[in-house]
Amino acid sequence: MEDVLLLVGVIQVIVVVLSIFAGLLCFKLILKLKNIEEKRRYSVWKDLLFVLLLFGIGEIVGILDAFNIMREISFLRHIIPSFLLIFLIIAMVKQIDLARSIENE
Amino acid sequence: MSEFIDSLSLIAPIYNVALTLLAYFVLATLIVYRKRKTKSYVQPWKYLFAALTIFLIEEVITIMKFFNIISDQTIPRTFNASFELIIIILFIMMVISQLIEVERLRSKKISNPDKKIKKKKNKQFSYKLSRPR
Repeated sequence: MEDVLLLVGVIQVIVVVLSIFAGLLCFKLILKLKNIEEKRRYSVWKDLLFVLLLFGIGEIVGILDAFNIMREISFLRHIIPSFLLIFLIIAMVKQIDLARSIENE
Repeated sequence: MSEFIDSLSLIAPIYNVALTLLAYFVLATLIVYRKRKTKSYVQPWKYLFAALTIFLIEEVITIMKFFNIISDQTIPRTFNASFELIIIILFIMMVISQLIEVERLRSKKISNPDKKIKKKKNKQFSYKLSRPR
């Protein structure tokens, strides 16, 4: 059982490292946008960056749970994805709204 | 308060599935709308669609474990971690594809004004040639 938890912890550490990498890529994308039109068109990426941050926090809670540290907060492992999904839905609705406004222009 | 949080965390995978299905619906609307009406680039959203599918599978497995339909021996917790690894890889692919698209659009915009100037010059040249003396 402990071997499995160790493996889970190691995989989740890799996931956190990859999340940081994805976050940096997101930052690069946001910084690349120069004019107002581009910033408006790709504004969804700021929301997605926040979603990624929540994903990373969820993974850190998973690591703590796997390595048997601060088990009191392990309930967050299932609650954080709910907020993640809510923010993802909000981001996509915003994107649909933006696509509609671009089409009307 | 702690009882409430405990019960919330127990029931969370069930409403996560409901939220994922809602997200599916919104994402499908977004992809179809962008493809048909604005004809814009939808590749990043397809990656997100794949990531959501994997998340849905993960949550369904969690629910099945919660209702004792399958045990931890059948599908160990490493599977869940592997699913999360695939999700983050798909997200990275999503960001990279969007970065490439932004670069492509920018290079297109830079190259287009030259073409317009060349076309104008050509028009002027042809006008001069065709002008009766």
